[in-house]
Amino acid sequence: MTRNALRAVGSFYLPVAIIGLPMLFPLYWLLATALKTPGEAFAIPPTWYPHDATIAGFRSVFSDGVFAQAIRTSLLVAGATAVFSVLVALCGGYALARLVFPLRRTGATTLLFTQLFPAAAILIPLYLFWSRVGLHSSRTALIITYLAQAVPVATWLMKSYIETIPIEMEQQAWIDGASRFRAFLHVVLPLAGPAVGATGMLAFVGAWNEFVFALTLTGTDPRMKTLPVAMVDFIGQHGIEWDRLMAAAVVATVPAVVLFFAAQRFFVQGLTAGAVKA
Amino acid sequence: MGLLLFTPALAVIALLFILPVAYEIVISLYRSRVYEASDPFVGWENYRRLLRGGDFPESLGNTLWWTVGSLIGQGLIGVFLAVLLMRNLPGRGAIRTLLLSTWIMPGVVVGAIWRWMFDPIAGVLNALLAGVGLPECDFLGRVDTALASCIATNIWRGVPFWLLMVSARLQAVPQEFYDAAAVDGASGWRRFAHITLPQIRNIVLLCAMLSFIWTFNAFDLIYALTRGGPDIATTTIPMLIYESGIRNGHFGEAAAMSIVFLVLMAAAIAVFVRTSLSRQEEV
Repeated sequence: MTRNALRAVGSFYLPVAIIGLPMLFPLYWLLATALKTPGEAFAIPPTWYPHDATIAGFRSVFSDGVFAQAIRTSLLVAGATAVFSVLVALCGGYALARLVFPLRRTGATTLLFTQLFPAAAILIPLYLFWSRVGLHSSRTALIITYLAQAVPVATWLMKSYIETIPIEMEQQAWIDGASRFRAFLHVVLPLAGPAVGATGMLAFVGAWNEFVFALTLTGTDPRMKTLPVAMVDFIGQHGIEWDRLMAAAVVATVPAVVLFFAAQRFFVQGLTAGAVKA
Repeated sequence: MGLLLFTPALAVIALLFILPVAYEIVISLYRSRVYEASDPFVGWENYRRLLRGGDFPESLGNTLWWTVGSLIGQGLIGVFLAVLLMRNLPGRGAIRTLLLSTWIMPGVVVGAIWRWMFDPIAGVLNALLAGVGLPECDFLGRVDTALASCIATNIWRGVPFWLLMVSARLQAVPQEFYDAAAVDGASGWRRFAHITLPQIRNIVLLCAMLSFIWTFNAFDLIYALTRGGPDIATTTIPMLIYESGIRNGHFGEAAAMSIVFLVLMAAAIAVFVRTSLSRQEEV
């Protein structure tokens, strides 16, 4: 090997490998375990790759009562959160971007400040509140709570996106005799498609991943558990079946990752659209 | 009209942020084993009790170690990798995807993966230790290693975020800066200290602030790893709030903890913003 190649290995590839491999190994181990048979998952010493790979673990996650129910609950809660937060954000974002009203600036900064707010700090009052109104252990309580988490960012993103849509297009519609609402419906909404998709997806991911509120608000009722709560319950049991738990972990990860990347793509498009206008 | 459209957003914010805090201050002034109308008013008693010792000071200490350890680890490794990866690495897109996946996966999943790797019986880390002839270790079950193991997991979770943010910023540093330094014969370390570091300072401060908020509030990761144990060796304040309030029904005390927690966090953010702003003016 030449001197330069040696130096490249020493100063670049070696450090990258020393830090990079441990960074990637847990992801590999997650998949490898999920594909093992129960017997092989527990082998001591562990096998470095699944010797007879099987998707039985995944199958049991989808057929197993607890996980299958939890997946349905998570889909429902995250889906509802996404839909409602997009609706609220469209109204609020349009108002912030286009209309003049009292509290406008305060409202906008408040949105950002909520992002600094620790969830754990309001666990107690929210728990007591939902218990008192009789909605403890209900999906409704969880959806409304998630909505409050998702709405600030969604509104802010929607506002920023609507600001990139030229107001002249709306004004043209007004001149043609359309009402403000019709102009919004036929001009702004079609153009805001990417923002609607992206904010919806981000809201979905946030609700899908959330744990502490789900544990607090639905933790005692087996039919209301979301996927993360069901996973933690599974960890708490004696003699964990790791192959099944890792399969559930993959199932919990895939929607979050796919939607996050899709949302990111929308945003790149959105930003480019804004740049073209400028 | 505008206010009307903005009302749903405002209502949601009020419902989840403003009203709960007001309600929580009230709760924290009552005895409240289980919150009732006849519950005795105790004033500052719940707050005084927190300072008197017991679980709160210890978990405050845990929270500080957990936060500081995670931030330093994430920051050092993240910046180091970002600087190294400035050279074009083959397969960059794939690595980026994997890193982002790590960052976006649910915290409970991260906890589950590492709990499996840390497993004292069939875990892969103990197999590695045994392979090189070291004694095995029950990482999460021992008081002296549990918190460090949790911190290691959180570093793993946070590095991708730092790496992606810092390397995105590094792409924007003009190559001429480095060319000029090379002409002047500056060493690698000097190039880092005098060119790279000033360029990435702001993004590092931003990452540190966001990581601080996420780590200080973290719940899911530790809960999946240890549930705060053994004993309370890995119990941070958010977990103590959950344990004493939701699990044991000491709502008054848990509410007082939450208020203290909120104040501490606000103070930390204020100090952080102030120092980073004043530093910026010097530049």
